[in-house]
Amino acid sequence: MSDLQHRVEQFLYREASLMDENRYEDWLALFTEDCRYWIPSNREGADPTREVSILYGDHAMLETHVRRLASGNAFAQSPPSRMRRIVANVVADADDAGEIEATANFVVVEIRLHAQRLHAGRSLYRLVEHDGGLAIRYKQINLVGIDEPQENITFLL
Amino acid sequence: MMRIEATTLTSYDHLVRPDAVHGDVYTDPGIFREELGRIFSRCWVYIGHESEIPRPGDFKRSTLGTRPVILCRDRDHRVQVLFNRCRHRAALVCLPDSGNAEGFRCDYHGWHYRLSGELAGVPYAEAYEHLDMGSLGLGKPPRVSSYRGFVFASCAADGASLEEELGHPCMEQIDLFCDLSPEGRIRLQAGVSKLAYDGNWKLQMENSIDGYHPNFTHQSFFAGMRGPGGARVDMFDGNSTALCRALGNGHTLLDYRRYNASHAHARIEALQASSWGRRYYQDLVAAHGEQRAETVLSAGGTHMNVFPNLVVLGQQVRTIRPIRHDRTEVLLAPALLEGVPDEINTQRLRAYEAFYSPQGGGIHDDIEMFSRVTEGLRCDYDPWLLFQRGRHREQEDEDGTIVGQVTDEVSQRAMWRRWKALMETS
Repeated sequence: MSDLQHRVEQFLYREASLMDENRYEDWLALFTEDCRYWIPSNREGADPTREVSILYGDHAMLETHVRRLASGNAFAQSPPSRMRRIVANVVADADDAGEIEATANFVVVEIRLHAQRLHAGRSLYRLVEHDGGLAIRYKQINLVGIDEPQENITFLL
Repeated sequence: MMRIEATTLTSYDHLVRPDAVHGDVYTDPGIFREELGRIFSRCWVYIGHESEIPRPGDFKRSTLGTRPVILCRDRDHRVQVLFNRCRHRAALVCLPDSGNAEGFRCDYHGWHYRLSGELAGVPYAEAYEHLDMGSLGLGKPPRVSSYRGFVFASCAADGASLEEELGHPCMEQIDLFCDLSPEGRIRLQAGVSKLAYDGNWKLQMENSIDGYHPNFTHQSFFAGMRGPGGARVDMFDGNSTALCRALGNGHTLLDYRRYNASHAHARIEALQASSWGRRYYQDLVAAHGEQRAETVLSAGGTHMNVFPNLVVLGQQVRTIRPIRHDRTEVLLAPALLEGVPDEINTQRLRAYEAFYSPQGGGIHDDIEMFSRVTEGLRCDYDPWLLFQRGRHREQEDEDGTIVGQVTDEVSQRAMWRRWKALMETS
């Protein structure tokens, strides 16, 4: 296994644990200040300036998002979901500028208020070197159920 | 032995009081079946918006109650609402949620229909002795009508016209929503947030115009925006100058106009901060005049329920889709404005998503409460849900609407009055 592949996998596994454990601030710390975060709605390849997203925005948007979830009064996550997710099919490539493009599939088993649900999708990342480790400059999450009626998906994705 | 037909003419006094509602109205499958007949087969029901089907052949699937329908535009540019059921053996004739088509073909035995609904062809037709093609077009609700592009259908052949049903105060709110566009037109072409929950459809109707809950259900949203200490907003407190209104026929409004009046100039000034904002404001004034421009910007859209299944709220057009007595889908379509700088529409999308998208800061906290209500309803110790808030102080306004303070339950009482009246009429 290449060093790059190993580093990216370890990074994505760590991110998965932070999301699974609802560690909002620690998860946010993985993103660069100039990051973009996007969960498209209805179809992949939509234009987020003209079409609605499930979530789209910059670091400030994520801060608001995380602050709300961490407030204890975000009732759709209070009590929070219990989750474990499998991250797999990781493909990583570095470009000439040193940015890493990575894709990974995920499956989340989630239980909240005694109901178990499955969520799955594919995440696209652009990762950069940061403080001797990696950081997320871009993350896009394409849910398998992108166009389906969404039940409570207010946990971290 | 003589068979006695059950009469279905019922009084609903035991379920709906002027200030309280019995829990069975949310949980009884028999009541749900009656609603499909007495409300969704009789009222003007919102189907979709003309901007979703701009060209001939454009279609989208929708529902009329639980009936699958197709909203489409035929070759003559007429808007059609067609029942999505083959006249032969009942299979759907249209499967995709939306698209553009020459017509509709049933994949089961190949019967095909024109966009206007007529039966265009039947394979191996010689096997039929008499097949009256002219009477075997796709079914249509007897009445279809639209107001400012909002298409409604009614399964009742007679009754109030759409405009009579909506009434002036309701149409005035739709005008405010559309006139945020200098062209006076909205466009529902920006996708749809789709949500679903295990609970009754009326929980979403009640909640959409509930001015009492935001400072509690949504305190995390306000805290997320403003940081700790910002958990409540004065717009929804017990002394707010915002109002709620019963507009007639069960249509209801959270009316922020008086509250927003003091903020109108701040909104106009915020638009002056960018070239696109200035252009938008100038175009709005040029199109509607300065006074109307100020009125629509101050109102900032509307926040209205149109009974039984439409909500026009903030930037969005919301459809409430009953599936079963204990299952509901909610479709939220952000409305883009025609004839505005792109930045205005992008800003509308982001503002909408912050609260209403499935990962946004608000809508799922509402749905969480519907789940908690649905589970709580299993307890019938005292089966009544209370809606008397502000009843002693509600008043009839000059325009005939009934008005109360924003946290009062004027709107829910009005909704339940209409519901009861419809359910009691055979």
